[in-house]
Amino acid sequence: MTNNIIPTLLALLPAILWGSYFLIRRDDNFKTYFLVFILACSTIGITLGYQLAYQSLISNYQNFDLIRPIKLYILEYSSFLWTAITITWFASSEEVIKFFITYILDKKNPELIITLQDSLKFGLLAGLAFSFGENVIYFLRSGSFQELGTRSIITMCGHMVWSSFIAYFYGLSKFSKDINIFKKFTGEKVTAKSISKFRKNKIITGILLSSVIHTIYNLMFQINLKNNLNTLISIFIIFFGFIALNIIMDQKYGKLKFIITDKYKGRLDQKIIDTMYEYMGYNYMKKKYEIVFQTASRLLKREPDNNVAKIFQAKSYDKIQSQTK
Amino acid sequence: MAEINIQIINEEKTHTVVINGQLDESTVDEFAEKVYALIETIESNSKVIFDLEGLTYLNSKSLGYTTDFYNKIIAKESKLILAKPQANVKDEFNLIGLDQIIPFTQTLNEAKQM
Repeated sequence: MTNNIIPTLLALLPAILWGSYFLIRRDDNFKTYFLVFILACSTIGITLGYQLAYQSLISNYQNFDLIRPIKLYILEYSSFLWTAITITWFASSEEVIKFFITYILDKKNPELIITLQDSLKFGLLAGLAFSFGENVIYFLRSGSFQELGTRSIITMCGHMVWSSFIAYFYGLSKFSKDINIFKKFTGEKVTAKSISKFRKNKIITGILLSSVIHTIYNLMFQINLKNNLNTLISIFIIFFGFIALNIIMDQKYGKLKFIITDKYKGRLDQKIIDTMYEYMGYNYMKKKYEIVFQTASRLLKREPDNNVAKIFQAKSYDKIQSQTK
Repeated sequence: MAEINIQIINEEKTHTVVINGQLDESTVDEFAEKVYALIETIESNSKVIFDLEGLTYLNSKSLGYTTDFYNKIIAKESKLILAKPQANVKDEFNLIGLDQIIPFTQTLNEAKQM
């Protein structure tokens, strides 16, 4: 028992530090975050569970080992290809399993995710919890403090970045209706079909993006490049992801609160609201972001729950900020 | 297709543009053409009054034109006044902030006396 507690506490420490860095300094929704973290710890169990279940199945019933003939066939050509395939499979399945925590929580309690950042934070916590579980297992196996240290800094950050990317795209998909109205009025062609396509594409993009980055990162440990280039690439992947995550978290657009019910009815006539979208869209395309920001702010005074006006306001605010930097 | 009826009444340095109908994509350019032609002819210290009582709707392009009319009229050291707007039309001007730069009046007489 004591043998398990020490590695758990050691692995928990970096999880707390990373969590504090990304979450506590931004808001105080600690209780929800804690519950998400606890729930997300189960993902390591699910991941290991399916691997062990498969191992147990094929050791007892060898006829069920459908992968072995494929493996032998590929190994005849290239052992690296087989390594790449298995790494891709494990990285992708880990990402999908972590993503399901955000997905299930959102389906059960849609009001928990009302900003893109909420979604992103849930993904971040799922990654953190998964990595925490993985660190405990690795430490129990190897007992290496050096490995635990490296994993706590680099791999843990990686898991947070990858799973928060999926969750961010999931958030974009969740709020696709309002985002697409914004797109329509800023010159993009939008149809009912394209909204549904947008929704699916965002989820697929998120899964692909995080799986590909995760796979490349893991592959870097399987190859030897000159001058330790593989190590540099893996560190660059984490560093770039960390910077991107920080930028997304600091954007006003990511923080804006979406009203997630269709029951809401505005006080202004829809024709006037559409005229305002058109006016803001025109000015947005002309890069007159100050006009857009002010118009959106006035519209929000009259219609505080108008999601599209919030997008116009946040997007123009971010543009103004980037122009003044 | 919306219909628009524009009438311009010139009384010395006061020019009243009476607008009846809707200003949308099909009518706004015709309206703008007439107002630009009027602005060309006005002398300094003139008043251009838009009588909006009969205007039921204006689109975003019309709002953009109104801002441009205002700038051109100011450049001629004259005034633009918007009179008797219906509530929804007033809402549109308020939302884009034009009420902060262009004076609004409840009656034509008020506009003429400004």
